[in-house]
Amino acid sequence: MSNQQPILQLRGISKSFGFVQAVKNVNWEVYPGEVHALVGDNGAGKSTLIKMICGALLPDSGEILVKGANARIAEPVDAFRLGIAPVYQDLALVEGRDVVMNMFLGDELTHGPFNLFLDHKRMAIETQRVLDEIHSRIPNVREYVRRLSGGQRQAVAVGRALIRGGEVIIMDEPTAALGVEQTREVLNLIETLRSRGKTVIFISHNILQVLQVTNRISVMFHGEMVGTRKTSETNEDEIVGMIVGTKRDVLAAQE
Amino acid sequence: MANSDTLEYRNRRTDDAQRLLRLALDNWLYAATILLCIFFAFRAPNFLTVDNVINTLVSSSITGIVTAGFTIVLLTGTIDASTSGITALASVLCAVMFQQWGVPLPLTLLLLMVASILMGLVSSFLIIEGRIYSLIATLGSSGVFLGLSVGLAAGQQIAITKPELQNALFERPLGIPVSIWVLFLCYLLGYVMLNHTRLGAHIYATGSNYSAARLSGIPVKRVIRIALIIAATTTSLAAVLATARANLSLLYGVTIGGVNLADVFTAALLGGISLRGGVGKIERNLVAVLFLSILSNGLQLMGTAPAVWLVIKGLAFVGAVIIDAVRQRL
Amino acid sequence: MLRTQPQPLVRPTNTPLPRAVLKFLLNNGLLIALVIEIAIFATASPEIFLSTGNLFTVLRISATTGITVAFYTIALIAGQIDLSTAQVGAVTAVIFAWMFAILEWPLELSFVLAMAFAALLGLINSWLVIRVKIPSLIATLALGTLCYGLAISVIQSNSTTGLIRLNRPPLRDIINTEIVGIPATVILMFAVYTIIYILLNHTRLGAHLYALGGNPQAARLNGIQDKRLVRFALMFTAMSAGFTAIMIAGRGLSAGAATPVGGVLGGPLVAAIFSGVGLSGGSGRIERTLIGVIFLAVLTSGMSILNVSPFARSMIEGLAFVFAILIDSVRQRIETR
Ligand SMILES: Nc1ncnc2c1ncn2[C@@H]1O[C@H](COP(=O)(O)OP(=O)(O)OP(=O)(O)O)[C@@H](O)[C@H]1O
Ligand SMILES: [Mg+2]
Repeated sequence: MSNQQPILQLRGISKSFGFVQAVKNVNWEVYPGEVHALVGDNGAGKSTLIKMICGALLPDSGEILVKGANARIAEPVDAFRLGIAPVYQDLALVEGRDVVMNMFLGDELTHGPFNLFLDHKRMAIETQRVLDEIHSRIPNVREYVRRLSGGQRQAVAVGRALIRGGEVIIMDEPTAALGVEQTREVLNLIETLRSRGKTVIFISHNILQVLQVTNRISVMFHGEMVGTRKTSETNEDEIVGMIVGTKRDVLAAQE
Repeated sequence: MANSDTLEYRNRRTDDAQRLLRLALDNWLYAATILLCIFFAFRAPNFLTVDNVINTLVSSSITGIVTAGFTIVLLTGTIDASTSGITALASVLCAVMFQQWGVPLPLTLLLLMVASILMGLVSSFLIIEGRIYSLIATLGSSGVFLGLSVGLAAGQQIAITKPELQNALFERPLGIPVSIWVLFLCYLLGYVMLNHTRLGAHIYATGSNYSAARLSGIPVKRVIRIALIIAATTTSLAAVLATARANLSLLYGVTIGGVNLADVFTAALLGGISLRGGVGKIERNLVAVLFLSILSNGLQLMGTAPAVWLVIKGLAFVGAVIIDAVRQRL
Repeated sequence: MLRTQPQPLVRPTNTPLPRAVLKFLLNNGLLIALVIEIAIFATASPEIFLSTGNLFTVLRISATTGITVAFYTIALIAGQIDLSTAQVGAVTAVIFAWMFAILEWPLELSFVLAMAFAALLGLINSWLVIRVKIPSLIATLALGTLCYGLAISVIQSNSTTGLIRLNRPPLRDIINTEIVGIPATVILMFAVYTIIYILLNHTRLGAHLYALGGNPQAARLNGIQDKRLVRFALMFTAMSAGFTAIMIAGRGLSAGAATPVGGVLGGPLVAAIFSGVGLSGGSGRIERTLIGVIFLAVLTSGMSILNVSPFARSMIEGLAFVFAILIDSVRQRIETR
């Protein structure tokens, strides 16, 4: 895989909030078509790193390359344009609107003179198509998001990422608040995305899930990227060791 | 390592600057009040006479008393917009009972207190049981009170010809007018209640984190209800003072006796009460009320047109709101 | 491997009958109330209340507040509450009167400048909300106080009566223009409501306004220009308030600081809540606003036909308002359950 060009490459990314240095000089590569896990303890800086990739936060320093080209991601829209589509931890859904309007939130389809009017019909059809594609069972695309289950909401958020033309789908703890059944639904979703050739970045605290669905695993510790492993060549112990920092101390001692 | 040193240094510096800014934002009102007094002492004729000082205090008393209750409600994270309704109804009730029905003054006051409790209960019912956003709920109850007052007074201002009410107001125990006593008493009681009783602690807790307060067993609904009743009572008290001064019942639309919601908001915000609840000290409010009153009085003595005062008051409100917002971001 | 399993829906979409009936009643309560209201007034005073003259009276009353309330609804949907409309209206009308009647500038110029001034006030409101990050409720209350002061100072330096007279010829005629027998203001009101209906339901701008009010964070993360929307909503609310106040002043031939936009419970906020738009943002329908506005207008005209005492009148208004907010809170609770 490493002879391929990375679809996403970070070089020396740092970010601090006042005293807290949330992300320190991170270098990281993600390759096309893989499911790449990002793990680390609470406060390790995963969400912060992801937000910088998605344009929700600006890095203090460092650069982000998309498909080898230097990218300036200052606003969420910039990320969408580059094919990076986040599924935020809180999903960023508007509960009082229906599935369709959430799918096209901020990027609605229009028609008519000067493209002035919303194309409700085409949006509904597109929504249904994408939901079918990810095997989601939302019975009615006109249902309010408020009335959907956690797994269904996740599907809406992922569907939105796809509709936005997402090549790299980033999921921040998609299973954190879900029950067994709905968790499985989300893992299926990741599987489906992989089979469609999408790149998935998957943040989770559940090592077993991570080992189950990913191709590679990267670990953050106290804002630093401590290493990346192929899922097939590692095990729970090694990853947990890296997460809690014992591995790092060993490495530091060796140097 | 030099890198992290400079970082730490910079952080310490920004920290100092922030502390200084916060100190300034916390205490600017005291400084401004003192500077204002010095300025007017030199520029406004008769500013530093005993009569004028007393005048200033008397004229601040009505807004001041209303603000005390309003602040207590604001500290619970609730906004009470029923001020004008309560003022109107209390004033008309006072006039009707005292003048038209011939109820003796002490009994009138007692009955007014009962009425205040009822008014507070109406608002708290809408907020708590109706689960309506406080500002809107109190706007609604205010409308009902206004309606009642208009009806009771049959659309008229009731003139009070019996002398006891105004005489009581013109008493000067220890040489100080009654309204000033009432003003200071309200703030003293408020201060003790907020800082030295369980209720006070509960009020702050409810305002700063409603759900945490509820989960830790604080009867948040009762706290809000009591705060609203306190506010209704102080507002009624202020209404009685205004009625006594004019010897007329207040009539909505004609005069509201110098109490309006924006004034009360301005004083509370200038006094550093946060709109999000849970933050602020009642004694600073007294200073804010005095500040506004001194400003108004001094400008008057200097012969400035009353309209200018209205504009300045508006600017003060906008300024207070901006300062509140800046403070919250620190 | 992981295979999809058919999974039961967490929440059945078909509500049981009593709930459905209740929901229908709550959703259409205002319309039903309007019908009942009209029936009551019609039986009490059929010959006056049901006359065409009264129909136009009702519509004219509706048009007076209705235009402001329509834009107000947009602001509420976007999650902004504007408490400055009465004062912004007053100061705009006063400044218009000053330019038109005292400086004797041409009508068009005075009008355009006054509207520009109102827009500026809306801009200041939105600046306080967007840049200083003050909740709109408070920002607008503060600016409203300032506007009131401004209005009073302009009046007092130009008149001793507290009013600026406005009896220059073309104004009243223009305001009272009729088109095929229908007052122009009424036509304007319906046009405004139609355009806003299309805007809210069939354009991206409308979709974005709903999204912003429903979840500002989500809207921003999805690339919706939140600041522009807030500015749009507050500027148009201010301008419509100014417009309405100029109309009222022009009809009454004088502008004062207390240019009223309704009775004791007047004001677009009340009208908007009354129509069940709600305060939480992200929901609300403009057609309901129109029904609410008409409901209040019917109430006003009906009560004056029946010679209801001011006591009962303000009581009824107050109670109707309290009732409306209670109903709204019940509806919201049922919807979110
Ligand atoms: N907006 C912010 N302001 C200040 N500090 C922040 C902010 N966002 C994050 N931090 C801090 O940055 C650090 C990294 O936080 P981040 O949310 O990225 O961690 P995380 O790895 O996603 O943790 P979790 O697994 O709990 O989600 C934490 O110490 C956090 O407190
Ligand atoms: Mg996180």
